[in-house]
Amino acid sequence: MIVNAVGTDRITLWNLNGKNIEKTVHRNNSEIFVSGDKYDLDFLSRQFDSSGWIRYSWLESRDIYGNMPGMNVTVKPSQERELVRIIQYCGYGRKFSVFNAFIDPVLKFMAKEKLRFFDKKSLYDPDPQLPAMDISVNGQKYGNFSGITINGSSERVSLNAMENVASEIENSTVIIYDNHNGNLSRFLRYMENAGYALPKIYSGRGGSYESYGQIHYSEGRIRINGKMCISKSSMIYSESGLEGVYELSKISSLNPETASIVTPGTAVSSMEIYRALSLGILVTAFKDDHEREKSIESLFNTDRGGFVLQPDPGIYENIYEIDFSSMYPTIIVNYNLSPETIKASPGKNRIKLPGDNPYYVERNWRGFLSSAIEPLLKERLIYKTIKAMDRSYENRDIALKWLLVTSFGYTGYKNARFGRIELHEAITSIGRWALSRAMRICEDEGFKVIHGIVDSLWVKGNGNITHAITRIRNETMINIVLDAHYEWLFVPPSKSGLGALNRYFGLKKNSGFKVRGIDLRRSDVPEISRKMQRELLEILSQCKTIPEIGEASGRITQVRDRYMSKLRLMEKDDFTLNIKPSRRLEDYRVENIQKAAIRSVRNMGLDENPGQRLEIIVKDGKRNIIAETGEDNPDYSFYEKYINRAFEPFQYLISYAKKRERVSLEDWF
Amino acid sequence: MGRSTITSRQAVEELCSRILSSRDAMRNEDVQRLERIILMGKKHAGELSSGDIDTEYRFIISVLIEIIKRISEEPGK
Repeated sequence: MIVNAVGTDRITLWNLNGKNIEKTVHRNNSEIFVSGDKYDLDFLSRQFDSSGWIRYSWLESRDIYGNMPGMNVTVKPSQERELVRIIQYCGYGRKFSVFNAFIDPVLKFMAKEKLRFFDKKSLYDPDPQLPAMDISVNGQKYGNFSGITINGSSERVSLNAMENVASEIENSTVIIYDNHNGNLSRFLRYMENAGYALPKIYSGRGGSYESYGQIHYSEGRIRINGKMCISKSSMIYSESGLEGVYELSKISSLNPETASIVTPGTAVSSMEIYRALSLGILVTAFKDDHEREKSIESLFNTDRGGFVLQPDPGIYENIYEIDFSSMYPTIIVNYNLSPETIKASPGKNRIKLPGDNPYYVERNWRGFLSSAIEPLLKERLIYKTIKAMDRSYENRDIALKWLLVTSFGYTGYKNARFGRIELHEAITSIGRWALSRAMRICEDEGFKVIHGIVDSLWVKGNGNITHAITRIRNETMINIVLDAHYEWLFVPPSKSGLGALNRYFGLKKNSGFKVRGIDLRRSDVPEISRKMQRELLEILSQCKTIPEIGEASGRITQVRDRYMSKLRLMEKDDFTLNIKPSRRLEDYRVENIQKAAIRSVRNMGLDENPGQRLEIIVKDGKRNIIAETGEDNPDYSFYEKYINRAFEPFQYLISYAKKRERVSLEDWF
Repeated sequence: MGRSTITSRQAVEELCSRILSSRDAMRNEDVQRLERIILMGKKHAGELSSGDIDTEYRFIISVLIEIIKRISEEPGK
């Protein structure tokens, strides 16, 4: 089983044989394809001939749209970028189309040799148990180290500890590390300076970046020669562990280290590229067909997202929640959506897509994108069914879920190699159509629709839900399942007075609560808020009806009062706030908690990085002072606001329960 | 999805803030009525966006739906 591959011009394959890893080195060449006008290609070939180092052959090849003549050029992967620059220069940047360039060399090698990482005989097979170590170093003021944690056990920094680190690194294949504040990089450098013979270490600096209007921070990465280094801050590792990383590596054909740091979108793109290359389909290097020209009316009509049905705030009894499973990927697969199959005009063998979109789809051949995503969808369905059996199946399911979610989003990304805006528009349009059809069918089956958002519907009534689900599935060609049956569901009001779309909680019949959007699910509130909400839900779990909630109102308010009066007796850790300052110290114009936290980081002699998560306790909320020593007490009146805010939805809940189940708009004035 | 155009929800929010900008010149009791209208206008604006209707019409139809609903829900109707 191949567990890793590294290199550019020479690829080293790590083959797991029993318990040993055998490393073999393979020469790697990169083949790129250039197409263009015959006259221009002749000119380019003369340039290549005169260069003396560029090898090429004339060839006809195909991309997803059809065949084209061109030149197949073979170069070393390390020379590829330079060659493409020369081609672009010769063609004034517009005369030639370049294919199969700028692809990860390992991925290209794996596709050429038709190899797979972590290739198992069956989906049920366990992952290989590679020797792994888990390491983090705790930092102190002015770059000192306060301790090391190796495989869960902590110790002080000492000669013995450093011996342990060196021996663990030597004996491990996988190194799972936490490089918070660059502590581990500095520690490894410190060990090297102290004379320890460690394998060659490369460490990068962390960096801040903006994504969807938010500032994030990416920790500095560490690479150790001959090891697989997986950062704990990697999104896929933190969500789905090593099993998720291995699964992503298997699907994307990127090595595990790369798979752990790329976004799920890049992983999906890599999976598509692997499939294209193994089928002999060209992959464009520069995308220029992401969107067709369209009128402004057409743009306004098609440029829309998911369907939302506004709920009224209130408590509802006997509610069913039904969800389309993997709605958008299923639409791609079942409606054969792909850049080459979606058309703007009718024609032979084309069928009109349902929904408020102007598009048609070819039905005579299978689209590239739909056929690439289909196995992913099938695999997810299997892991979703068996995930309760084993934690590793659950982790694989989470990794696949992320890939499927982004497989849709990537269709609308202009640089996605197999993306197209029209595809994105058609998918959301079919999604809106499917949800509105589901609503109509539910009403037809005797239900009242309470709330709907993108791929989920909440309906109330005593109709036959199984029958409704079957009808929806047959009519929309998208799988829909019963997600929950609630004794009662509470939708709190939003600031505007309308029902909140993404905040609700409800007691499921026989299986606890489903909670969304309230403090219990937020990471930016102190533990006291979450603790109180957990206690409140515990009381509510005994209430099966709305009158019973009304009767429990006394006990519910008592919990809030107890938290208020006993705030001073709680553990200090319960007051820790997890914040993410988005600027540097000098960029803050007003004094606030974020600024105080950033200043404290600077005072400790550490790097301040916008987007980095910091854990603080507020000592004085009015003057924005944060606790800097263990003796500092929290500002209890500041934290009372959090208690009140966490209680707010429950306050609404009991006032509704006492009055009546649903509140009309009039009640908000 | 709001990639190059504003979303239907943003369009309604924009219309509402334009309407509300006149509240300083209104009596307090009328401001409350106006806010009630705004809420009713927002209520069905999302659903109505699936039709090819202008934001202003969507707002008015949403208000009308809520008024009719309220009239029909009154006791004795």
